[in-house]
Amino acid sequence: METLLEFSNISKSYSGITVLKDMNMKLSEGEILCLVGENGAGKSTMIKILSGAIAPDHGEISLFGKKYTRLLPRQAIELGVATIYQEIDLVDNLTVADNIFLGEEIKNSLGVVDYKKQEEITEKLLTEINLHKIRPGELLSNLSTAQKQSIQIVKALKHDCKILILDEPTSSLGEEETNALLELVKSLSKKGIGIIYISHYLDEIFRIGTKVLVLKDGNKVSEYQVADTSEEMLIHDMIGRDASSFYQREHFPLGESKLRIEHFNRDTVVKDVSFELTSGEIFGLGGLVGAGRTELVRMIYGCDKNRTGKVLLDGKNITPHSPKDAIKKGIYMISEDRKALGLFLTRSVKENITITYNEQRQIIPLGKESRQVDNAIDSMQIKVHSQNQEVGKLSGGNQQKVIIARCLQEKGRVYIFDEPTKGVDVGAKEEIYRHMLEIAKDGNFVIMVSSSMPELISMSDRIGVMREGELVDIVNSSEATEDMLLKKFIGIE
Amino acid sequence: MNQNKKKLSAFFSNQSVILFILIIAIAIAVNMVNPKFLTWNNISSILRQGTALGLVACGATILVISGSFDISVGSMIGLVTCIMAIMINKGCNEIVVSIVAVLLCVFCSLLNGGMSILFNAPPFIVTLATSNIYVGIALLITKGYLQTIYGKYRFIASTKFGFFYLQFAILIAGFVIVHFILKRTQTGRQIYAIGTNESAAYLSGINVNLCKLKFFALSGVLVGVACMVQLSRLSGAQSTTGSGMELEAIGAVVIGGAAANGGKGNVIGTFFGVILLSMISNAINMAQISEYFRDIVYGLIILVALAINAMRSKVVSVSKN
Repeated sequence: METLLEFSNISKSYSGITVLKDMNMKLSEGEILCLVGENGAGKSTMIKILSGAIAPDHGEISLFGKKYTRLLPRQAIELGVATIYQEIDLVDNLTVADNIFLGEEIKNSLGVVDYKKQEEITEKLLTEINLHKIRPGELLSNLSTAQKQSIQIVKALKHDCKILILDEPTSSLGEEETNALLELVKSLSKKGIGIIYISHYLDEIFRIGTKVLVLKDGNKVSEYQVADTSEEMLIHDMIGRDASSFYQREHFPLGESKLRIEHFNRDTVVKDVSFELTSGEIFGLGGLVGAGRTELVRMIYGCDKNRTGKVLLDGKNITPHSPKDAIKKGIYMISEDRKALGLFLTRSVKENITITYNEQRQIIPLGKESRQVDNAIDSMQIKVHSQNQEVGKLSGGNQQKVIIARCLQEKGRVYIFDEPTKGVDVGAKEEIYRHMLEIAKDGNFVIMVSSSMPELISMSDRIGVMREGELVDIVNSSEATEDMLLKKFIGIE
Repeated sequence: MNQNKKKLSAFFSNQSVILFILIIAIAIAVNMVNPKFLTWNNISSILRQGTALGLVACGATILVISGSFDISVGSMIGLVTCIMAIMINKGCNEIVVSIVAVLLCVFCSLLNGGMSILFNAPPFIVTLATSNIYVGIALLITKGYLQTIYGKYRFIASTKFGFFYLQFAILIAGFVIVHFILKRTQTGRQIYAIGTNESAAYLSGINVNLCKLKFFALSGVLVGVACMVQLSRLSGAQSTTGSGMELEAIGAVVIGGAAANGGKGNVIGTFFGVILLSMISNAINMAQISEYFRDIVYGLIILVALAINAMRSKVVSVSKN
């Protein structure tokens, strides 16, 4: 096996803070090298150095036998290093083929784009990696998230890439789609492409990885052949303390109050969903992406049109007709897409925390508000320089805590968490779990949509399984296993 | 030491500070050409000329930060001052006329905001349409003639306490009130929140549509007061009375450092923007440069302000890395 890439003693620091220290790494042909570590461990710095976005302070990069002190973005692409970020970087209103050839259209002798030839080449590329289900002429907006993700990979392959970097490619994919993507990555490695794979989901690493590198605070903590390690070992190295990816939650007796969710419908997306939960309970909602879970909870929160559904608290109708109304009735939602739907990224931590609470006072007492925010930062253990810091500059976990703090400024009854730990590192994850449990323990109702099996099983009291818009089953989490749930999600008994 | 340096560089990269220095520099330069420039008489005249623009710019600041525009305010001023003039000539009470002016401007602004929400259309386009309508109505009711009010309705322009004109008080009050709204009230937080991320604002329990109407209404009140000032100062009105003011106002807001796509800005910057624009107009007269250069200079200043803005955000993002 030929060595494609080698980092020797690569270091990088920003204004005195070391983010990467004497990093050594080797990637060979056909290898799948996984990088794991908490947020801020140095994974993204490594990728940025490799894709040419930033220059290292010291050290040497050797790429296909040639040595460089730094790479430039254009150069990296031309040499065959392709980076695929978790955000999809394609145009929805163009066809698959058009997207693949965007900016590099094939033109005929008249200078007009030769669509036919583009589609032919696209077809060939798609067949090569077993994606023949996708038609080159299909509009991109008709594809699923996973398919779009694959198209990004195809685009990279067209450039004849030899090293493919995937940064959290499965974070917005469901179980089934993840499987397809992992298969694709595996088959690419068989073709000799070197792959650098970053994911928060450790199980994926065991399914496809050959080698794994654990980073912590800019240092390489350990390096294993995947076959010689275990999840516990990796987590131990990542956070420096023992923890299982199955969080050991505290159990407490449930209360008396009942919350009934009744007859929620939306076209073919949500079909007559009803269920009941008891105060103090965490009700998990599991299913594949597209099963209608987010759509359901958005209706419960009152932000999408709802004609038939009712929310009953001890028999009293509290169905909200808008988020404002929901909050007035004590229903809060922490939505799935933190950056697009939750945060005011360029505004301060303070404003982000009090925005909902301030809806009930015309003139804001600045001193009181500031103390209120200090309390929230303390009790949520949000890591900030000051409450005036821009929220966009915080890590994912701290951003999530800011949103949770916002929903706790006033006492609510129903808390809906949609993918509460998406893009959050292991340490912050546990803290968020603790806050969720506190909320439940206070006698509130918690509904949690999650695509992470360990999260569903370890956090929920019961798990509602949604499939194609229907609530097909409710299982006690004490009896649930990953295997059983996955079968129910897909619909095989 | 380093800390102080940082504070110092932060101070000098503040848009308002840059503008303040620029204003002083231009003032000193023009004063060398014409020593009458920096006399109280002239400064007072600059401020009085800037009063109406200042009030309109205050309203524009609210709208721009919240992510919208109203380019019909110029026409609105034309229409409302004409109606006011006609009412005065028909013998209406001046206080009634003033109240009607504010109410009309609020109504026109709400119409702009309401239609932009109803049709889900960008306010820029909606107000482009209503701008034509307002001017058209003004032309129709005045048949295109100038409506003089023969020295009536003078109290706003002529009242002064010693050398302190009532107009200064109105100008300052406008800015102080809008500053207070932006920094210390629920409405202020809503303005920034909606300008930064409308979806997140909605999901955080803000009634976004109602808020947008509220912002337009606030702008309407300020434009209404601007109409009063303008009519009183000019002693007459026609359909073109406020023409161009909408762009000057948005220019002042942008010069003041607000982001044209919302979420960022403050009224102190706008204040300096207004002072800069009214001063330039006056300076061109005082330095005996052709009046025709005025618009070119206005345009250039806005471009320079955008460039400074772009450079500042680059500096910030570099230091962030």
